[in-house]
Amino acid sequence: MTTLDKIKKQVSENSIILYMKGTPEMPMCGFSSKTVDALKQCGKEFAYVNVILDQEVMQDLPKFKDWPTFPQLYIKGELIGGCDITLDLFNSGELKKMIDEVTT
Amino acid sequence: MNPLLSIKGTIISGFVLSAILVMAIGGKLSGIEHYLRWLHYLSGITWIGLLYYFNFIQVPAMAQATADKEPGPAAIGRYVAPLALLWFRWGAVVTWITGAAYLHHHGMLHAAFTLSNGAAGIGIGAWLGTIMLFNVWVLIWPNQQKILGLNKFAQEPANADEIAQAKKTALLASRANTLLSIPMLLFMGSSHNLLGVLCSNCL
Repeated sequence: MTTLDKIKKQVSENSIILYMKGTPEMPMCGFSSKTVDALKQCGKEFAYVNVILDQEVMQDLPKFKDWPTFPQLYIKGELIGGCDITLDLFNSGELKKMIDEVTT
Repeated sequence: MNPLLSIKGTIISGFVLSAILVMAIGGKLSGIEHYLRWLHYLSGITWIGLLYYFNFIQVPAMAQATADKEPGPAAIGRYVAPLALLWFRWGAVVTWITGAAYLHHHGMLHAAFTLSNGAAGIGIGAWLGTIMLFNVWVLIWPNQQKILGLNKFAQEPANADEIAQAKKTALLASRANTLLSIPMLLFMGSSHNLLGVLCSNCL
């Protein structure tokens, strides 16, 4: 299985998945930290991949949806975006709606 | 019974108050990572606080006391230094173990020490801390034992030359640790959450 196949599988098997540096309890970068905080505040469970521990994913994820940076949030297989977009969606209340939609 | 009348009572009260405050805000301290991080900070401050005490206070005070002859440095060497060294060296051990256990708990121990892409910041902090722990136990403590005559297993007390050499080595190692502590704390404190410069490929 290529790394891109692995990413495809992760994204299709988890309705909410965040590719981040570090873990939700120990984010290793300010942008991952802010993004995961917004997700946590939506109150639903989500999957995450610590790209530091999977350097192949770190290398190949930017090619997956042509998005060069981390973190990357996927909901229902769709790339939502990185830190800025996630925070904007969270502040407008949109993120919680999207998450509630896929978790109910 | 006033808990502030003993050190043990004071420390236990600090933990009890912590538990009360956590409950008061409706939080919970479940999960070992909270305890590891907490102990890491407490022991780290004990260690580095005493390191700064030695460098900024005791060493200059010893020099002044030796020059003054009266009352002289003997009391510092007999009563203060051994106790300070006790908390200092064990604080260093607890700091390192809790830090390593914290990284291990998050699966990041190997990534940190190998300075993997994305973990290089905390990795540099961890390496600096490790070098400092080595200095404490290999260069500072054995030489301080010689200087203060604390080695129970020594056949005879160190002679003046040995003590002069031990003082020099211990002092330089202690100064080196003070120097290293400055970048160490930058990398320890900032690599998880703050400085964008340390993880420039995020954006």
